[in-house]
Amino acid sequence: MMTNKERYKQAFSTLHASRQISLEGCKMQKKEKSFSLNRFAVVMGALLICCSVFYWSQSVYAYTDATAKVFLEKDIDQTKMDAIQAEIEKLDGVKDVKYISAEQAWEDFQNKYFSGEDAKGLAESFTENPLEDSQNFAMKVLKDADLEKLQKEMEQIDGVRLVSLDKVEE
Amino acid sequence: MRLQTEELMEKYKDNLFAVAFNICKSQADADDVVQDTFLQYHTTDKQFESEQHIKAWLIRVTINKSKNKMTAFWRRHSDNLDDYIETLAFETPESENLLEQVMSLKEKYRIVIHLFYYEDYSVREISEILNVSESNVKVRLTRGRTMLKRLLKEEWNDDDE
Repeated sequence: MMTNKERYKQAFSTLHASRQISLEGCKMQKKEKSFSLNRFAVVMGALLICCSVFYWSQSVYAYTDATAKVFLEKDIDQTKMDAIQAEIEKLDGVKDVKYISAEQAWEDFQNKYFSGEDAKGLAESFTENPLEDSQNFAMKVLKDADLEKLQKEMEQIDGVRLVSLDKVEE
Repeated sequence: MRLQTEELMEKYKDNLFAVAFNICKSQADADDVVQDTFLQYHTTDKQFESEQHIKAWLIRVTINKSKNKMTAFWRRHSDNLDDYIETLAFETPESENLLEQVMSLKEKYRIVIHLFYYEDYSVREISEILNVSESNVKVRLTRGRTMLKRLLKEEWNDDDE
């Protein structure tokens, strides 16, 4: 014998949203064949707002070569890392957020500091990755970004151990 | 916390559609409301305590947008409800009858009934979503059930919950 909840759910589970519902490019699919001028004006206004939000995020700013690095706490799982990346990408003034693994960080460090003939043996003296705790998110920073504000915002993100911002000299 | 909009759409668009349809009684309007709700989530910076908190927020926004749509002076004429119901694939004739009878109730009873029976919300949670008192929710729930019992007879049990 079905309960009322089971009966209700069985009946209303037949309702499904249209497959056309999507956020892709803020498309507003029209289903009806005709609409009033007022409705047209509202839709065009909403489309304009959607496209403005989309293109604003893609517009060409004067990004410098300056980078920021957000170092992560130990033993962060993938879900947490994805959440941290999402938080960083939302901040004003950052672009091209990329994950740098500890292995990549060590390789980059070696390429930068141990590339000369004299320094060749230095890297080989390390039996383990000395930067094993240095996985981070690297990103470009907007030229006119409020670096102090940006640093504070990044430091407050759960899972962030250290923030390093390189200010470019004019 | 925040979750990706696309993930939430995949998980909850049918839930929101059912809520919107409950109020709008129109497939097209309900689709518009669901689209607008996810767009609002996508463009807001609001942080949430949990996924359940996000879902409750989405439902609240859906309800508000549905009500706004019903009162907008440029609202299109509603799609024919009966025509739309005929397109749905019910498991039994009783299911179809139940949906029709629920949709014949007044909106203030329909939405409380839906949040209780479909979304499994408690009286307290429904009162928070609808921003009405718990006693108000209890009254609406009781009256809605009484009406459904009269309309559906043996197809609706006496609730002891």
